[in-house]
Amino acid sequence: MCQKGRDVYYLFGLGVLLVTLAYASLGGAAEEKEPTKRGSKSVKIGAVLPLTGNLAFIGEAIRNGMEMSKNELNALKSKGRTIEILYEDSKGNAKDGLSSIQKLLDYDGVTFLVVNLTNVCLAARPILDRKPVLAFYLSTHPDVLDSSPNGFRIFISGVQESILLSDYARANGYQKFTILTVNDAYGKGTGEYLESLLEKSGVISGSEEYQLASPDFRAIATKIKDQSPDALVVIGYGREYPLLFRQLEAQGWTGKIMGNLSFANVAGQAVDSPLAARLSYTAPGFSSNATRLKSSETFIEKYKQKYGKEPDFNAAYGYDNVTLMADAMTNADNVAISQVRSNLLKVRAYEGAIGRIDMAITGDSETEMKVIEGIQAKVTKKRKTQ
Amino acid sequence: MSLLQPIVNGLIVGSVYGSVALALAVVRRAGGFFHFGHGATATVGAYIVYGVVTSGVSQWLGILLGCLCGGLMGFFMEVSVFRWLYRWEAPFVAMMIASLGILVSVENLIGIAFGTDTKIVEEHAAIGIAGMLDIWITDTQLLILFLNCAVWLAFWALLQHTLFGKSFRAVANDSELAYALGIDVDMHRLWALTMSSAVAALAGISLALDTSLYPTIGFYALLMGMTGAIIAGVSAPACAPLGGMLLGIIQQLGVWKLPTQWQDTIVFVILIFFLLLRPQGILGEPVKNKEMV
Repeated sequence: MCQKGRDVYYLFGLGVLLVTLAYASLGGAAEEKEPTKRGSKSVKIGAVLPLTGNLAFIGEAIRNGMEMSKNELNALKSKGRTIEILYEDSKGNAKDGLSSIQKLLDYDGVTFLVVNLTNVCLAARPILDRKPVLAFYLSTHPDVLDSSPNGFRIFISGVQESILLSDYARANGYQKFTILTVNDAYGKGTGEYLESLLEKSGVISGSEEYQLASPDFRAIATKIKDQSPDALVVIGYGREYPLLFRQLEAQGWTGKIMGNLSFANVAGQAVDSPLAARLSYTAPGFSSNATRLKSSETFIEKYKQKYGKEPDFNAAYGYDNVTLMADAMTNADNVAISQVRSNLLKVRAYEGAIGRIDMAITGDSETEMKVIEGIQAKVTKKRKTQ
Repeated sequence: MSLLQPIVNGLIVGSVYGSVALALAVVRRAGGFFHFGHGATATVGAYIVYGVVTSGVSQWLGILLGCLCGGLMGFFMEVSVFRWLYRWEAPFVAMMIASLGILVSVENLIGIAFGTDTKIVEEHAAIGIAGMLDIWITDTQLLILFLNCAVWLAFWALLQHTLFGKSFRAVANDSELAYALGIDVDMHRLWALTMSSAVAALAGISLALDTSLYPTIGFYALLMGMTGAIIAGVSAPACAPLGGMLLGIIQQLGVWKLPTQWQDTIVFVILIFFLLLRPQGILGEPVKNKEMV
């Protein structure tokens, strides 16, 4: 075969390859967009949660709640649609969280996203605001939505918690506070807002930060004791509190402790310190037998049957996020995000697993919250104090 | 605030850093390299005491078993890895990298086996709180202070006042000359790694009993211990614990006025200061032939 003939073959082969690639990419794109079309069979929801690392207990609880909701909804097959949830591990940090979000958007073609942890949410929001997706942020940070055009928060708000705590402090005559926060976006955001409220009715005698999973609170405990506040205000994640309590107690500090919902993470476990009895923390109505709705009781029973343990508030929020999202889709002719968003904004007096939820026009929700006083202390051995 | 409480806190954490510093300095003198594997041994010791105490068995048994397993780990590291590297005349950097590999592998294995979350030894013996002069210390902390200091004294006596100590110092000064004089260098290195590993395990156990434990606890102890060893001078193993103690006190006093998140920064500023201005440490011999620490 002459040179010219070979060139023609090569060009023909190249043309076939390009056409095949173009067809494959168009076909792939069409397949990814299918969930948003009328009558599509499966709607993909992406969930970016901390599934490994020190905050894995939060991610695991949310995933359990989401899975429960998904299984119930898929059993009903409302409008012939089923829900598929794709979980990605943020490992508790923004860098891995963003990579996971990019993967879910670019490769898995999800249009509904559940993102947990403030540092991941704050990093993701500017990206997600520009994408045709609906994002559900599970973060308490006061600015997590910040006029987001497509963001929702079906979770506790740090603003709501801070107002409750400052009112509680005023009602109990606390005037001198030391604020202890975890050194990340969540701790700083909620801590600064709470500090601004507490300053109006008292003085801040000290403000300290600690690293997540800090191995030692000894130096902090010494400083807190020296500052002798009326109340120590703690904003963290929960698993570090038993060590904090033990080291505060070892330094002979016996004051009051105020905190946010993170204390509800440890409320299920008895905390081995008398300080636990001097604790006041904000929590959703879900966390207290006295204020629990029937819908919460039902959720707890179902959860215990499925997982063999008590759910925490994270599981309830995971469940409600998926259920509300699916309800909004069910009430829509198709799952176009504008229609789902519009339906979500109409949610009022919804009785979910967490309790009553009211959605505001900003996409933020309000859950019934209260201040809970004391965790039952479990004293394993008799303590002697001189 | 009374200065006494941060000093007492410093003594407690310093006793733990001191044990790691001692373990590091012993192997550094006997083998010529910083043995990062002591971090792995500390982690294993911490998880053993956690396992024993949370299963309801005596804390003392946990401490004993943790130290014993730590010593055995050191023994096997020496016979299975480092002895071969010595025979192949591998550079000290290769040994240090091998020990780093051991640390990373053990930490990952522990993470897989026990999870990466922070754990607390909850069921430890009764906490007695003694308040005198507004100084507070628990009996667990007193126990830690006592055990670590007792081990230092034992090591000091062993290195300074026994035949083993004399021959150990000979190996440390010039292993080839010691070999020519009939000293069993391999045996001395084996004992050095075995005994120092048991001390490193005690440091891990102390951290677990006093604070909390997690798979990278050994690395944290290692960093602090290494800084302590450099402060005291790695050429003087018997004095290395004093560097750890000093570091603990400076660390706790440093956050007296500074925010507590500067605690670790203080340590590394001290480390850089010593490496630049006094690499031989406070009690070590002057550095010769550009040999660092």
